[in-house]
Amino acid sequence: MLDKLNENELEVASKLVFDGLSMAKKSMEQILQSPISMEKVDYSHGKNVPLPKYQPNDDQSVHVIKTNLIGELKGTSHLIFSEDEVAKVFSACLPASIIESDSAESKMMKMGFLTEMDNMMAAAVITEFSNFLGLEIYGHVPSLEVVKASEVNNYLAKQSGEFDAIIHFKAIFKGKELDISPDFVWIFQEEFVDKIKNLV
Amino acid sequence: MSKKVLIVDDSIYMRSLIRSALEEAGLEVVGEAKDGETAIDLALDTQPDLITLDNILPDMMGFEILKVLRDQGLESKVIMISAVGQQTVVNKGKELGASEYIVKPFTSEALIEVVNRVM
Repeated sequence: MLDKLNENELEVASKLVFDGLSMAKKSMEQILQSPISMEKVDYSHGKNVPLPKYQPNDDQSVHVIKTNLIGELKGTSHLIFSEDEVAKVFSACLPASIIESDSAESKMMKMGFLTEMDNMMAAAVITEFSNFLGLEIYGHVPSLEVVKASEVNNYLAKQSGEFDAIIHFKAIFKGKELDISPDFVWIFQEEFVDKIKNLV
Repeated sequence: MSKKVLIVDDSIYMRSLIRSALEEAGLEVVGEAKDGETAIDLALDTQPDLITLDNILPDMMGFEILKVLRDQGLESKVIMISAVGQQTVVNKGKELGASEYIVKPFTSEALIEVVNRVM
């Protein structure tokens, strides 16, 4: 469906996500209390574009945090961390007493931290869309699923079933205490494309 | 006597962060709610001096909770705390009776500064 956008319109859609991620970077800096840089390393769009990082034979666990859009535009955002990245995030952001504990409460705190991080990052991008498109859209309460890396692309294909447009971003967030490159996958309904077309 | 606070947020991590900051500042946390229905029940039961209110909860929006509480005559001060930061949303929160609207992420110091200003 994004194929319906011409180069100029696609540029706008891409810029909105990237500007949102730049705001998300600021959120991460506040969480870490330390400066980080962000670099866009990969971008793709269209339907059923597999993420190259997740191979069919990869047995690693992957954390997929999903946020549904609510309001005047429907869609979902996905923030995807590898196991290694999750460990780095915890190490940079949480106290050792939580990281090292296996208690039910510590596990809930760790998962709660990841979903809260997604909440802030998704909200930053949603705010860009909301302001640009003049629409009331918000991210709902995020949910987290741990899936095998080999299943990520099937998972996303299933998620995109009812929607039409997919934007995938990969960005490197790098700072003194953190070096991660999560994937961001945005799935929108066709109306998103129409709105962009109307405004560009 | 210390001021009573009710914390409303779906995230256990965020509730814990807010509780630590408020208790360190000498406030008494009288309850935590992770959804709107619990928030309304607890607010009416405990009549807190202050409510920290997330705007997106699993069952309803913070705006709706705020409206219900005001309709019930509850006069607690309300600080909305949310990742949703569009100016229109911030304005709507204030129109509905929130004293302040904090956009996540925030520092404990910033939260306490706002609490002190509001109380």
